[in-house]
Amino acid sequence: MEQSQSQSSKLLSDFYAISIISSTMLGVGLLTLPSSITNQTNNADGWIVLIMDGLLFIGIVLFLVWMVKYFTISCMFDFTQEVTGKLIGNIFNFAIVVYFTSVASFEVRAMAEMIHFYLLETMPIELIILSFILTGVYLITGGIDSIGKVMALCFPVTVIILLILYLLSIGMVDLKNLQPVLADGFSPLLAAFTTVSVSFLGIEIIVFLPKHMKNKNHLRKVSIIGFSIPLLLYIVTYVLVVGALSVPEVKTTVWPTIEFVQTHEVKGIFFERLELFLLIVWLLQFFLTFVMYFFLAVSGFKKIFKNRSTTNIIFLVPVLFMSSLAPKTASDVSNYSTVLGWAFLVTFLVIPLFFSMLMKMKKVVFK
Amino acid sequence: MTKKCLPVIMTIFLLCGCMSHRNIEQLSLVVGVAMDITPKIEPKTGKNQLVLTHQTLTETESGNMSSSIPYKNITTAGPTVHEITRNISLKSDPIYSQHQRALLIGEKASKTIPLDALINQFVRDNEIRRSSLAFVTKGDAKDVLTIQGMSVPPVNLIYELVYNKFKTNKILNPLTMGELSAKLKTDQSFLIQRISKIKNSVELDGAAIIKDKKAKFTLTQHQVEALTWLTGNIKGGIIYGKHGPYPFSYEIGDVQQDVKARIDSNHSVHFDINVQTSGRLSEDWETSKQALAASNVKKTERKIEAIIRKNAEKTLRLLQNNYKADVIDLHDYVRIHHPHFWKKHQHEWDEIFSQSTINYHVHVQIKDFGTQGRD
Repeated sequence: MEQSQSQSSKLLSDFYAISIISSTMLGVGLLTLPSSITNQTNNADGWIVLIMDGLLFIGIVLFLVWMVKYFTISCMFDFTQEVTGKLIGNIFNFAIVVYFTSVASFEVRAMAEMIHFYLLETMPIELIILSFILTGVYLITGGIDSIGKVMALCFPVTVIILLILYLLSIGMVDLKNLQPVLADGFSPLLAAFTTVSVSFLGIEIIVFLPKHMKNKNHLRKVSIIGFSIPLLLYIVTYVLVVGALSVPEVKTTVWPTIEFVQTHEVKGIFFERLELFLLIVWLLQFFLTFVMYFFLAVSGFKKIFKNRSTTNIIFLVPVLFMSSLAPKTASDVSNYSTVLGWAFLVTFLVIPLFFSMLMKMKKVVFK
Repeated sequence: MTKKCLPVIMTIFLLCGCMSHRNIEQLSLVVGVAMDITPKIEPKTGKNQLVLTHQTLTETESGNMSSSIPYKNITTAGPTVHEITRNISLKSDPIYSQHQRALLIGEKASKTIPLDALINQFVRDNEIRRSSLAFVTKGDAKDVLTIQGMSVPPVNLIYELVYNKFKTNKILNPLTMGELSAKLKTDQSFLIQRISKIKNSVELDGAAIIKDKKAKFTLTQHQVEALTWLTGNIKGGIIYGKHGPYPFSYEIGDVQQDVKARIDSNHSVHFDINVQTSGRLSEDWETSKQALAASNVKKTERKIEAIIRKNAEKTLRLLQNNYKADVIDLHDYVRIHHPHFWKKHQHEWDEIFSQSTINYHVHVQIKDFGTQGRD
């Protein structure tokens, strides 16, 4: 009883859970999404793809939430073991942990690339990566409770600062750059569909989260809100960035959102350089995404090996460090993200569906 | 133990300082860059040598403000932009471009080298801001930056001048480096503000037409003024004329433009440009009472319309027949309203533009007469 008492105080309230979902989703995507989508569609219709894909994902999220409730899943790591037994379940768990580790190392690398390019040109990239990993370790030792607190603290600040920056730069937008709408029909939209899906990377944590939530019944509300905030930010970002920079320009830009904020200049105010604020808050978002995946990887290992978190953290630090340095060039990093996009769809869709079907069959057979 | 360790740990944070710091006194803060070429051919690239002139700010000695010049120009020649900027480190403090405000491209350079190649390094570089402005100059750009006897750096003056657009419509919208780069990604022609050196100062002097990524033709101030009536992009300005024997000035207030693009079955393109403007009769040398009579005002309105139409159509003919360059962005209307046609013909647009029929209509309404209203 006492055990559960101390446990419950460390569970997440709804606001914390929403912050976790949104913060995990907001990462490198928002900074690169306008160019990656536009490269696929070749026109300014990306926002339509975002809306359509977003609605589809809301559907999937609703389905997953229903499934979580139906099978009373508290965490995917537990569920795999429950369905197929320890051994096979752990093999799947291991694969998921590998995926989480890869995403964590990718986020660290993307962040380091950004810092290296815009902020600390002379600092060795290894040092940037290492300092972020170690800061992440410090946060993770506090458990989901501390992570949730940091996210709940940073997430509203991020959204507010981002919206202020957008509001100030809105004068740069020329709606002519977004027209004509649907001139090429729907076929380019389909081409961009998978690219857009990658931006929703992070939403898969809803099948790992219920374990840590105070009100498990609120999962549906929490997931939808947590998903919708980044989706709206994505749509706004796309419209503003493409509207300001125009399609041919966005296609060739590596960090279109930063360039967009940079194009605008506030005259006469001390803070002429607004992109600094974007870099600061986005650094936090990169970090929080990284921390969440790191944490999930650690808890996955804990489930598999039944050992202490500390051991797993110590083991994962060098792994993360090496794998984040693995891509040699900037184009390797973007290839890395394409692979992760597919792995994301597997973890988010295929694995939960597959295990739920097995569970259903099991229930039917044993009844 | 903890108590002993704490000061040690804290000193680490205090002592390590900033890793990538640079002393501000040792930086050449670049405010503007001028780009020219020499007639000499560089053997390695097979192209003319580039000459870059960086205008940098220097510290002024306090108390001695009037005599010292607050800026310094560094001229360096070399094969590529980045090579040049690095070679500057051989003779002065390394340049720091975060505050660059303008890029001036010399007449010769803009006519011989495609602009997208010239600005390539500036756009790629993370230091130079996309909000810095781009210009072409009459003659060498270097001459504009090295004007003697100015109290402010020439770049700063240029930077201020472009924001006078609400006073005169002889100035184009400021073109930032980002917009320039975006425009160069397409095949379309466009305009860049031109600057020329006048005695001891600079002047915004018409525009250069960029066609096939090179500055092919120039427009005078007067032609730019007429051209703004074709684009409707007017924030302010004056139209002067004569009604009867009396000169008058019309101050442009609000300008609304509406363009209809139509494509025939035989692929000829028609445009209808409708411009509505209202403003103020701000000066009238006819001071008699009936000057403000309704019929008289109507007559003046028609007169202004005629002036606008005449100038606009003259410039339009020039663009269509002589230059064959759609610098008034009519292609936007085709792109938006006829996307399929646009897709097929966007690479030959200037040719189609030169053969399209364009009808120009303008309607002027005099709204008031300044502080001297009707009786």
